[in-house]
Amino acid sequence: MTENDTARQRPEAPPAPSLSNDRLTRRETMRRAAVLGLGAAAAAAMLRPAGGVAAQEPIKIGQPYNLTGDYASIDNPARDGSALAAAEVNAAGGVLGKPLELIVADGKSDVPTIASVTKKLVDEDKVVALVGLTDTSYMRAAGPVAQEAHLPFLDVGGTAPVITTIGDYIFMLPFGDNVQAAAGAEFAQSKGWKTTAMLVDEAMDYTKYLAKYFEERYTAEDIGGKVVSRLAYNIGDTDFSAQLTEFKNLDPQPDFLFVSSNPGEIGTIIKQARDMGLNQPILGGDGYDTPLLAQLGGPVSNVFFTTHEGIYGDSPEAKAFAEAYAKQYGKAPESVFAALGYDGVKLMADAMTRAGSTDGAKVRDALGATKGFKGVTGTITYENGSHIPSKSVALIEVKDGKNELLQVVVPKVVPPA
Amino acid sequence: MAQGVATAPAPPAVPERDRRGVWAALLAVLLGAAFIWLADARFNGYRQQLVVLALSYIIIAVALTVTSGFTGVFSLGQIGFVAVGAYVSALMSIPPQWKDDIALPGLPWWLATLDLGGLPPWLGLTLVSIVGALAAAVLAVLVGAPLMRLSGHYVAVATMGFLIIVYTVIVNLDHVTSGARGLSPIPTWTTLWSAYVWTLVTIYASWRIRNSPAGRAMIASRENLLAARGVGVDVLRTRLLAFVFGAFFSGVAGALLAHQVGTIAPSQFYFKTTFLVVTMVVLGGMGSISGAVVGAVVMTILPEYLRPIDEGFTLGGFTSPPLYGLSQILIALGFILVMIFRPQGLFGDREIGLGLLARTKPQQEASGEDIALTPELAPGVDEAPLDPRA
Amino acid sequence: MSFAELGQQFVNALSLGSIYALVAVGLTMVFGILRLINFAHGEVVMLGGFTAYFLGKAGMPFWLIAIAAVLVTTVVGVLMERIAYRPIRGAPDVSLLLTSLGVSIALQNGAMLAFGNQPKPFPTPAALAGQNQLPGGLQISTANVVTILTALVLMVLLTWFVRGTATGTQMRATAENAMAARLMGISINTVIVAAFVVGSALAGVAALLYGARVGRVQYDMGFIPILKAFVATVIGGFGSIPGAVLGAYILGFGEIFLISFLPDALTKYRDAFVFIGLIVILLLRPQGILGSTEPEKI
Repeated sequence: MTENDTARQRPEAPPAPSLSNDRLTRRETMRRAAVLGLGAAAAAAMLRPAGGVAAQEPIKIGQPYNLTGDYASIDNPARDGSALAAAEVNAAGGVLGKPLELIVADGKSDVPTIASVTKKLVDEDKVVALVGLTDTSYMRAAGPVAQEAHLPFLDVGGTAPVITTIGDYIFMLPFGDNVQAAAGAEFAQSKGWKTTAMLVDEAMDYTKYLAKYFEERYTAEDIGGKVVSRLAYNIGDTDFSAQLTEFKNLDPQPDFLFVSSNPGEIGTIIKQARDMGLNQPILGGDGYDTPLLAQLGGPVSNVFFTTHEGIYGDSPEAKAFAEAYAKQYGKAPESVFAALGYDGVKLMADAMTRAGSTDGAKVRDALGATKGFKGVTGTITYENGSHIPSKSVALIEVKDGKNELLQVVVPKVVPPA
Repeated sequence: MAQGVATAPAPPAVPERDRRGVWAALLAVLLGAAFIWLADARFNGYRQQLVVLALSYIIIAVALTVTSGFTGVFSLGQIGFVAVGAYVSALMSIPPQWKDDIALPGLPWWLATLDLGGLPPWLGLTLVSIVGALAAAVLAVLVGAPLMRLSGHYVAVATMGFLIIVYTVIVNLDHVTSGARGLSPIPTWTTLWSAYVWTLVTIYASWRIRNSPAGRAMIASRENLLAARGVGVDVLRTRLLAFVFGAFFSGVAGALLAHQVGTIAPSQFYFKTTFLVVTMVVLGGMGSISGAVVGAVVMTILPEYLRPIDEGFTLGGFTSPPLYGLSQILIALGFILVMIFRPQGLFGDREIGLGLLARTKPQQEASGEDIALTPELAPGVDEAPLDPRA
Repeated sequence: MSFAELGQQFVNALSLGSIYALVAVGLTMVFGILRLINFAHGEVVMLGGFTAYFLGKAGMPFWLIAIAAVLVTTVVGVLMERIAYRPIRGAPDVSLLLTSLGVSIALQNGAMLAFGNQPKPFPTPAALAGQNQLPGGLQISTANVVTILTALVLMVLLTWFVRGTATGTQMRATAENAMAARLMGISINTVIVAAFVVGSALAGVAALLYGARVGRVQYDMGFIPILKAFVATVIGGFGSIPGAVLGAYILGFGEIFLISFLPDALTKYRDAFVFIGLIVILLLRPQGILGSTEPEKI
C-alpha cells in the first residue's frame, strides 16, 4: 500500500455535481476524521468488558433459537415455554439461591449464524449452560461450541440420535427419530396401508434421518410395506407441482404419502397435494407440529403425524402446563415445542440444583444421572450412559385443521440409532 | 506475479513520495500487528472471531477490487470462489473419522482418508488454504476465459449465473458437500495471526499488481477499452489475470472462514454475502485498495452494532421490541444513498488511508499509471449516458 | 411417459411460462429504456402477494382483491422509479444494477419487518382450486387454465398497447434511440413512468397467479420469479418484449421437461442447467433470440 492518489475520478462516475472542488479539502478532513474515529471506536468497543454487574449475579442460561426463518413457527413457542419455566423457577426462589436469566439469540434458521450466535452466548454473555434449538442440523453446528467450552447443552427438540455423538456435554430432551419413525411405520401397518410414496427434504438432517428410519421400519419383514416412489426437495422450496404431478401419475396410486418435511414447508405441500387431487392420508413426524400446517394448508383432514407428549390429551401435566401458558401469554400452546422448551429449562435447573453448582462438568454429570424427572413431555431418565431419554410417542390426527390425539404408543421394534 | 504486457507504459522511477509511502505502509503494518497482538491477548473467542471475519472480508473485498475495480468488469460471482476455497479446504482438513460412508459417501478414497491432523495447525491451514485457493483459481481460468469477453451488465449477469450454479451444486451434491445442512466439524485452525498474514499478503500483492504493467493495463482497459487496445493491451488476458487473481485470494478467504467457525453452509456463500461484499467495495470506492479495507472493516463491525436493533434492546427505561430486518434496511438504504450521492464511494479509486498516516498532501498527481486519454475523447463501452447506441 | 402425463406437464410448463412472462415483460420494458436490470421487480410481485393476503383476511371478494393488488403494485413501481431510480438515471449499467439490488434488499427486509417473516396463506378462491378431468386421463387444474388464459389476454392487450397507442410507440422509439426520441419531443419521463406502470401492473397479475399456484406469500417470495424472469429476458434478448415472452415460455418448458427427461439424480441440478444455458446464450448470442442491440463483447 502506498500513497497513490489519482486526482481524477473514474469516468464511470456520473459527472460530479458542482460541490466537487471547492469543498474537497473539508470533506477530506471529515473523511480522515471519520476513518480514525471509527477505528478508535471499534477498538474501544471490542476492549470493553461485556455485561454489567447485577446486585444478585444471576445464573445465565444461553438459548439459541431460530426466531426467524423456517423454524420460527416452532422455536418461538419453545422460547415462550422456556421463559415460562424460568419465571416459575425464579418465583420459587431460583436455583442455588440465584435467579435464572435466559439469554436468547436468534439463529435465523441458518446453520453458520447458529454457530456464530452460540459462540457469542458462550464467550460474550458468559452463559454457564445452554438450552435450546429444535432441529438436528442446527444442533450439529451449535453443539461443538458448547462441547469445546465444556458447557452442558440440552437440546430441546432436535431428534436425530446423531446429535449425541457431538460429545459428552450434549443431551437430548426428545425421543430419537428412530423411535418416532418406527411408531409412524407401525401405525401405517395398523391402518392396513401397504404402499407409500415418499417426499423427502434431502437438505436437512432431521428429514433425512426420519425418512431413513421410517423406510427401514416400514419395509421390514414383519410390516412388509412397499415404497413405490421416493422424491426429493430442499428446505425453502415453495413449488412442489413437479413432484406431486409425478405422484399423481403413479398407477396404482399409493395407499398413503409419507412426507418428511420441516415445519416451514409442510402446510404448503399438503395444500398443493390436495389441490392436485392427491387425497390419500399423509403421514409424517414432529415437524408437522406447527400452527403453520393449518394456516397454510387450510382446514385439512386425513393428515397424521407422530410427535411429543405434552399438550395433547388430558394428562394432568399437560393441563397444568396449558393453563400456565395461557395465563402468561393469553393463548393455548401453539405447538408441543412450547412444552419441550419448558421442560428443557426445568430439567437444567433441576440438574444444577442436584449438582449443587453451575460448573459445567458437574452439571453434565448431574444431567447424565437424571432419573424419573417428571416433565410435561414425559418422564425423563438417561439410562446406561445414553443421552437420549426413552419416551413414548403421541400419534396425532389432523381433522379440519385441528390436531387430535389418537393414542400414545411405544413402538414394538426400534431401528438402531 | 504480473504477466508483462509489453506495450503498457514503463514503470516510473520511485519518486520521493513513494518512499514516504513505504514508511507509511510499514507503520500501518506494525499498528495492525499491535492490534492483533492486543486482540490475541485480551479479546474473548467471539471477538477474536469477529476480527478474523473482518480480515477475511478485507481479503475478499481487496480481491474484488482487483477483479472489478481495476478492470471495470463487474463480477457478482466472487463469493462463488470463496465457497470453492472454503469447501475444498474443509474437505481436506476434516478428520477422516467424520468423512465416513454415512456422512460423505461421495468422497474419493484419497480425500476420505486424507488425515492432516498430524500437521501443526498453521502448516495445515497454509496447505489447505493454498490448495483451496488454487482450486478457485483453476476454476476461474475455466470460467473466466469465456466470460471475460463480456462487458457491462452482461458480465455481471453471467458471473451471477456462475454464483447460482456453484450454490446449486453445493446444495445438491450432498454426498460430497453435505448439502444445505452444512459441513462440520472443520478443525478451527485459523488464528488471528494467520488471518493477518494472509491479509497482508493479499494487500501487498494487489498493490504490486496495481503498480505493475499488468495493473496499468487493467486500469487502461477500464478507462478506455479502445485506447487500451490501441496501445496493444491484450484486454482479454488482462481481465482474465485480474479475475484469476481475485479468485485465488477469495479462495484463501474461504479457507480462513471455514477453519474459523468450524461450520460452513451454502447459505453463507450466496446473494446476501455477495451484496455485503459489493457494499464494502462500493462504499470504499471501486478501485481503491485502502477503500476496500475500510469498507470491509466498517461493514463487518456495523452489523454487530446494529444487531440489538434487530433483536430488541433496552436503553434506560425504553424497551425496543425485536425489529427483524431493520438493520438490513438501514444498510441497504445507506447503500442506495451512496449510489445516488457519491457513486465513486469514499475514496474513488484513490488510496487515502495511508496518506493520513504519512501526512502527505492528498492532492499529489499520480504519475505513471495515468493513461493520458480523457474519457471525453472516446467514451468507453461502460459509460453510456442514456442510450449507449446513440 | 404416458400421454396423460405428457399433456399435464405441457400444461404445467405453459402455466409456469405464463407467470415468468408476466414478470419478464416489466423487466425488459424498463431495461429497454433505462438499461436498468430492475432486481426489485421481484419485490413488486411480493407486495402484490401481501396485498392479496391482507385483503383476503379482511374477507373481500377475490375480484376486488385482484384489482387492489394490481393497483398497489402499480403504485409501488412508480414510487420505486421516482425515489430510487430517477436520481441515478444515466449512471453506469453496474451502478444501476447495484442500486436495484439495494432497493430489493430494502423492500424485502421492510416486508419482513412489517408483515413478519413467516409464510402467510394466499386467499386462493375456491373456484381456482379444482381439477378438471379431460378425456384420455388428462387432468388439468383450474388454476393452470386461468393462468394461461389470463397471460394470453394480457399479451394481446400489451401488443395493442405497444403497437397501437401513442405512448406505446413513444416507448418503442425511446428504447430504440433515446436521444433521437427526445429530440422528436417525446417526454422521456412519461415514457419511463408508463413502462413502470405497465410492468408493475403485469407483475401484480403475476403475483396473484403465482400466489394461487404455491398457496402462500412470504417476504422473499419475489426472488424465484425475478430470477426466472431475468433468465427469460436474457434468452429473449434484453429490451425486447416479444423476446422476453418467448424466453419465458422456453424457460417454462425447459424447466418442466428437464425434470421429466433428466435422470432422477440430475433433476435437482435443474437450476444449474438453466444458468449454464444462460451463460452459453450470453456468450454465443448476447443479444438473445429476438434482441436487436449488438453484442457487448470485447
